Amino acid sequence: MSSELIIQYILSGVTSGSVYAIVAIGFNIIYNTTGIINFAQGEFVMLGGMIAISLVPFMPLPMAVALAVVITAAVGALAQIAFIRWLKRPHVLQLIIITIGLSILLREAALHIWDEKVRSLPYFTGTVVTSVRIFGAYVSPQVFWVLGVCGAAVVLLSLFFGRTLIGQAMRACSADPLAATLCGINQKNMVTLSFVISAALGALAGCVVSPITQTHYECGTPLAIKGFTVAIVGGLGNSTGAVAAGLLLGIIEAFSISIMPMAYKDIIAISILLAVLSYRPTGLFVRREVGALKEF
Amino acid sequence: MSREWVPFGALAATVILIQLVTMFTNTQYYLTQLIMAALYSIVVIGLCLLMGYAGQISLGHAGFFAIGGYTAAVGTTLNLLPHRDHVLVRMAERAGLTIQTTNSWGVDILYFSPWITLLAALLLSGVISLLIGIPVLRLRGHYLAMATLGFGAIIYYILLGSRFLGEADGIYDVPGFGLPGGFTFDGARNNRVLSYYFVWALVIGLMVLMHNLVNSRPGRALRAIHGNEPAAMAMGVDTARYKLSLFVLSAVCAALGGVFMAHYNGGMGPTEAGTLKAVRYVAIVAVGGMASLWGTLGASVVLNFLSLRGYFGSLDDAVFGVVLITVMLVAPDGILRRLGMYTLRRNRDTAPDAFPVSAEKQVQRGTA
Amino acid sequence: MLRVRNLEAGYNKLRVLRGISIHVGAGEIVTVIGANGAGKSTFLNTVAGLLQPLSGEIEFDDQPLGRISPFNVVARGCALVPEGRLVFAPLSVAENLTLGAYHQYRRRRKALAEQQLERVYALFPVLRERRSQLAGTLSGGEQQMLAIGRALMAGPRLLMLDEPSMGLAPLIVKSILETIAGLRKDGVTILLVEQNSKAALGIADRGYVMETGSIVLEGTAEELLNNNEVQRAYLGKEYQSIAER
Repeated sequence: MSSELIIQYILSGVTSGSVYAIVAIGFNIIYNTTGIINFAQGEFVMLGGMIAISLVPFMPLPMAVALAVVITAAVGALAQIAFIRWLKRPHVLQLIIITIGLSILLREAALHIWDEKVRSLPYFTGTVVTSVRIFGAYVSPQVFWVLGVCGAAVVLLSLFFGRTLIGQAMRACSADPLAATLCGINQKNMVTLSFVISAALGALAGCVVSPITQTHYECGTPLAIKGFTVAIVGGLGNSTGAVAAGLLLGIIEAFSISIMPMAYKDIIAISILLAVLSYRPTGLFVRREVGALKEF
Repeated sequence: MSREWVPFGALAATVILIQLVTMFTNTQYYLTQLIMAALYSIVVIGLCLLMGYAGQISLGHAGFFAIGGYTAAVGTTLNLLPHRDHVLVRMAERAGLTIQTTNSWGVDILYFSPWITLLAALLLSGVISLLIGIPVLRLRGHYLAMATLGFGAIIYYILLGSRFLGEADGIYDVPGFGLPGGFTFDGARNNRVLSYYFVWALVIGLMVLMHNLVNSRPGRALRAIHGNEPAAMAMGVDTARYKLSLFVLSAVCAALGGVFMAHYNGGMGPTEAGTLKAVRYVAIVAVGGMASLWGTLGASVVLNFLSLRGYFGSLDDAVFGVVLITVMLVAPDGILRRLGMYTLRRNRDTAPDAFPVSAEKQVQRGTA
Repeated sequence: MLRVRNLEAGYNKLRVLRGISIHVGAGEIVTVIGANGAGKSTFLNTVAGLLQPLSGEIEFDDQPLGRISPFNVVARGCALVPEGRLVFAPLSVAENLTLGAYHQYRRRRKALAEQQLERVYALFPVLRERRSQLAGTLSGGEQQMLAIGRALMAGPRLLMLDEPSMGLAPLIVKSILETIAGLRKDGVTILLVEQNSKAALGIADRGYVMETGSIVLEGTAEELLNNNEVQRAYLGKEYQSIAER
């Protein structure tokens, strides 16, 4: 394998890996405030891409992306308010099934709004054929958009959760909802906010990656499975772990093409998921003692 | 006959009645969907046992359905003639385990008897579910849901990506299932009535089996698992073993449904392993009230029939999404139970609750 | 300051409190003692709004408190230090305290919150030393101080404490209770729920004895300490030693 090819693989792996990481962080945010896994996370990515694609003929690209993020965030908020917020002491199984139902509804809505065609956003800079030469390999500038946007999102999120009062309040809700309420924090608002943030995050990822991977009404579920794999491998709730695991999975997938048929590429992530869930459900990047506190 | 068997008699009578009505009203085409609904019901009954009585969710049962269907399809469409000299083929042929015929293309073929492939399908799904179940059933809640969803997805991708399994087209030209008495179970119009009675006999038999299981000693242990796992464990119930055996049993049920679906439809495609199908099974069990075999069977027949007849149109999958959410929002312990039709169950007091929340509701109902 | 009349509350239809009436005057230290399961925590949780009362009235500063959301009770000036402390384990000590003043920040009273922080640090100097440490790594006594400090950050006029002595060494209990008693001079009224009756009555002005959801006895701390029933049931004195007197 030539060094150019290796760089090519690594860059393409890092690109899809950073999208997985973003989806995983979306899982983490909602998991941290509610303890549930939002099975509709992948659909937020799909919706973001689809909405931006529909808006782009009418306005400049940045505005279309921004509006798509806002609309998807609103969809996330509405879904949470309509289906989850008013439930009194819901059971975990109940919440799982509701978010599964939600994912089907979003997917079917997308099918009826946009039909089955595969679409994509235009490249943010240049076109399909534009490429940048780096260490002898040719890559699309969109790769840097994906990396830049995902990197910025991770940094902004960690600032939000670490430095702002609302971010700290959300972490407090995840640590102890009862004590958070006693501090005067409206825990239900924080949960709704977590849906808003992770929907917005998913939508953003859906927009930047759309020119490369394209958007299709069914593209949410595979992304959700991979995002969940990454979230689990990185340790559920641990966003730094998610970034590491995301990049790792992306690179493994990219290299897998050279040794096995393309059609089986998607199986790798799931096999890793099953293996990690079976033998180390706390994730690879979390100390066992910390994981022991969680319930699987 | 004790009162316990009244519902089964009623079911059998209904099955016969429906057939007679369709015969006299000349609407026999309904039987086709009723046959397919029954085949899906076989999956759902098994899943009901797993979800309702052991409290374990599985989004992987479409995968087992497809394993069953594809095993039957591959086994009965693989032409053994070119391999006739192989020792295994020769042995199978001598033992009468193969069938030689001329297919619809006028080609002579030799294939495994459907009985062999049925057995193989059940064994294969049993072994796979055992291998998957041991590690995965240690997980709970959304971890288990995601793991089983992942398993289903693996099966889907394998079916979709393997040339050998027909890729996106799946496998077609699957022959009928020859049963004793010279009758063949398949989708042919003149076999419809017999096929109808055959699958429904299968369903009733399965219901009797499940009913006995639920009311047996292990059955009570199963309820304990759903009610309170630590307490069951403290009382010496080997919860892990029961969960695993139910998982395997329900997987084998799913494969059984898949086998006959492949023979009935004359083929199977990869969408049978898709997430949407798996979610559909879960939705039906939820509508039926989680731990209610009869509720689940009723929900399964009605929803599958409507769906197969195309009443939901292009909203087919959306309907199941709406059903799922609605049931979980307004009646997490099942629509039927809410409607008070639950009195059909003889021993309702011992029925485990679908969710711990409903225990509170029962307290409220009791005092109100 | 706090007036509770005929309060009934519980979980679902299970009635735990059967007609509780209690009043706490401004500047008082009042304690509610009773055995495990008497309903003491249920009582505090109901006042804090975590449980909806089935019937009865709760008045705080002559305003009804019964039906408002728990996160608004804090803003009214009534803070609860919950049983088992419940500090935010993965957050730092400083973050825990900041969140205690959440409603002050939301109302843009940052200066007030910072002033409060200085007072809490002065009260519990150990919290200042450990301000960047994760709350989960503190000792039990330090966590209790943090929980009290966090509640004080809200600037409450009534501080309710649920079993602050639970699981702590006697010396630490003593120092924490002394600190609580000292809050009076800052104008904080105290409602203390304790199983450790002797320690609680030691710092209280008045007390109530709760048994299976009802108040069976009330009086000044002195009266209760000398009451035969209380001595027998809650202070661990033997029959004989009471009878001999």
